Amino acid sequence: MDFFADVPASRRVQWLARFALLWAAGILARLVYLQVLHYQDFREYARSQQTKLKPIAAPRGVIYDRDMHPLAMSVPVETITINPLLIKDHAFAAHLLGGVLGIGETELLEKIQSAAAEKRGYLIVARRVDADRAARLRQLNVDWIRYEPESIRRYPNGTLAAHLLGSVDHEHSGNAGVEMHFDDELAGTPGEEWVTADVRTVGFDSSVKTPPRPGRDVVLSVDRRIQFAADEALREAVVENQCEAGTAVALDPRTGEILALSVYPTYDPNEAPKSKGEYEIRKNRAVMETFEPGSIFKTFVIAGALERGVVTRNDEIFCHNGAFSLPGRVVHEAKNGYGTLTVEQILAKSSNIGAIKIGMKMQEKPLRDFLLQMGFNSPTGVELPYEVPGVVHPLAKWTPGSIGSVPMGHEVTATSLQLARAAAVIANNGIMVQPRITRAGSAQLRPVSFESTAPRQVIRPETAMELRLMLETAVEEGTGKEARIPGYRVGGKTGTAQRYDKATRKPVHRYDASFLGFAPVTNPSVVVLVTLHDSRLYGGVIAAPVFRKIAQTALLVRNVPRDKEEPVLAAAAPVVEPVAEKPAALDPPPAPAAGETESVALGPAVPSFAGKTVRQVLEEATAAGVPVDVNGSGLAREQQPAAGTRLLAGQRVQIRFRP
Amino acid sequence: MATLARTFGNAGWDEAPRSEARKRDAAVSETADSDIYLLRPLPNEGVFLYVKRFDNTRVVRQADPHARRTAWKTIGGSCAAAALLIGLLFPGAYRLLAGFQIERLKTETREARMLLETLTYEEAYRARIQRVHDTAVAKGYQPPAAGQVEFAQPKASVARLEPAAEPEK
Repeated sequence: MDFFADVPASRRVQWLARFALLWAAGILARLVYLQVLHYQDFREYARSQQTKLKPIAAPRGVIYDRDMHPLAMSVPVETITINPLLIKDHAFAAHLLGGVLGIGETELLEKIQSAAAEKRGYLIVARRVDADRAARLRQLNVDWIRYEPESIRRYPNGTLAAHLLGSVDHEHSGNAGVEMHFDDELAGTPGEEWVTADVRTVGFDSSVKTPPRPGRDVVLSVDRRIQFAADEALREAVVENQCEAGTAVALDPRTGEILALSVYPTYDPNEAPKSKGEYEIRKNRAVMETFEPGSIFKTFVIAGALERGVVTRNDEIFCHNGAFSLPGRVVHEAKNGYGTLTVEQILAKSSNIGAIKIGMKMQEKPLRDFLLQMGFNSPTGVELPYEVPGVVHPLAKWTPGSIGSVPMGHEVTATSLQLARAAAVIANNGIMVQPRITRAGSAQLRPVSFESTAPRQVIRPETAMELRLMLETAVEEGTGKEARIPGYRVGGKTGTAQRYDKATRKPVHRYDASFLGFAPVTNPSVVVLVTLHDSRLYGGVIAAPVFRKIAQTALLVRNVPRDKEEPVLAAAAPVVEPVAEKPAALDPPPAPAAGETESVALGPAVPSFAGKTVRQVLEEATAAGVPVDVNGSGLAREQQPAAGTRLLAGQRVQIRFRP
Repeated sequence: MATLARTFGNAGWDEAPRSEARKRDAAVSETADSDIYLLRPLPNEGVFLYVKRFDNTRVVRQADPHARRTAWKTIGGSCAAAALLIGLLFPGAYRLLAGFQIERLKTETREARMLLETLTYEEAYRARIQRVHDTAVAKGYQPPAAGQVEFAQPKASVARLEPAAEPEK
């Protein structure tokens, strides 16, 4: 039992020393093992635990309208993932997450249990959760929830300019419209950084491995107010007239900037297409589809004839009283037959026979050459994908009857944008400018990929001026009366192209109804083309009103000076209504002057404020949407205008209070 | 039992007192063995304790002329060592704390940017043109007709476009 009793002390000390030496040798060996033999391995292992490679987000660029209102932008969201191996109570976790994220608890519980059973430490619970919900989850402060930053593309105006903007796919790449054309500029390149963290995964050091390249913003030439007017007017026209579809293009003839490009039926780019049919709706008909323009094409035929000196504005042409024989067929006027008409009248009355005879005078080759010069048969070069060039057949394909079809806008096809560009030539004193969707002058924000062709003189300014006057006559006296805008001189041309049944290849009584116009004639600020496909009515009836609404909005928004005398309308005279026993103390209402036109009163009806306190009056006025001016204190004694009167735009109700 | 005290206690420095005690015990037991009627001695009966008291109240430590210097040297050395240690460790510690702060600020910046983007979208959504249009319709705001003149304060006395009266000649 007493082992050391008989062992000399010096020996025991020696044993102890040997043991200590052995101990130290063991530690030294372990240190050599850790620090020398496996130094690199453990270093890498430690680094892998402490240092993580994290992505640095590079948000996709914002698309703005010309006034810097965002039309498309990326919104940060987060994907919620969990580590099921760290969860102690699966049912509670499912209840917690389900409540905040709005996911079915049972389904989530099954997923968590399944992942835990398979020893999986990663489970995606919800993708693209908004910041609000992610913040609510963060407040729970649990260590088994992870947040992965992502972004989602949003279009705050919904369907506004949907075909123009396009959309992005699930990988955030543009798949249509501006999103697709400027994908390289808009899409940023995410970077990467090494982040060193402590045991609680709180970072304390980081170094950028690859710097991110944020996406560039794009400023469009579109004005959202004009675009909205175009969308609304087009939608109403298509729905009311039971058309298949409609397109509208508004552009500035001087710069080529597209102010609005609308297609109906439209879609919400915030939502992914759910069926194959929706892909067809998402097609931008204004640049991806051609159609026979019909009578609006007469404008360019006559322009060519004037430019080449074949005819003059006042030349008289016999129109065969409504029936004109051509090889293999007889051409009729759309409505009435005409005898002799001047060139101006031919355009105003949209005489088919007159246009054909002008085309025949011009002859096939010069006519075709001029049409090519006006930009037909070639894409405009606008920054939108899948633009088609349209068709002006080569002369070899022209039949003897072609000269009877092309001047009427048949046997040729063009896109809406091509037609608008050609009209812009007339509106811009004969200078052709390339249409563009990015705003001119925003060099800092303009994407680098834009390449424009230099403006070129296509027709003489004199010809353009003469055509503008002739087109004004077409609106004032001809088929385009519905396009008149009070205060402005408007030029334009109606067009109604008969459609063909693709199956039978025979004409049917359905039309592509169009109106091509500009305003003001003096110095055109906007060119608008409206086409309603598969309609039952003519362009002058259904397309011209759409033109008027769009052009009127554009002129108002762009603050274009009026170039036509209109009677000045004064605001409706206010009526004083004494609400108390005391007679009106305010200025008496003036009697309307003779011949003075009354303004349209469309505002809210004014309620009676008699005997009410200031607070009551303000509450009631706010609820009714009536702007009021408060004078004095106490109870309302007088008001003008009187109760029941409908307010004019900008008018306010004057209320006088007395104790 | 091989206790530590026993292990080192038997190293030889207390061997003499122990042997004397053993001798005394042996003498007592011899006396007891000679007379069987005598009371047997109690164990350790022959051990006597004696306490000698010392009065150290009048003892005074001899003054050490080098004590103060030694003390200051110790203090100075300790402070220098501490300063050296702090000087060596401070940059690393400061860097670590600053690193935490920088990373926290980076995270805050990122979150602030995300919040800004979210709010920008929120603003754009609330100011969408359809909503503006609906509000304008609900409030009865209409763009003026061509040629219509509107006055901010439609007072009858001034809301007239009357030509200025010609001065009398």
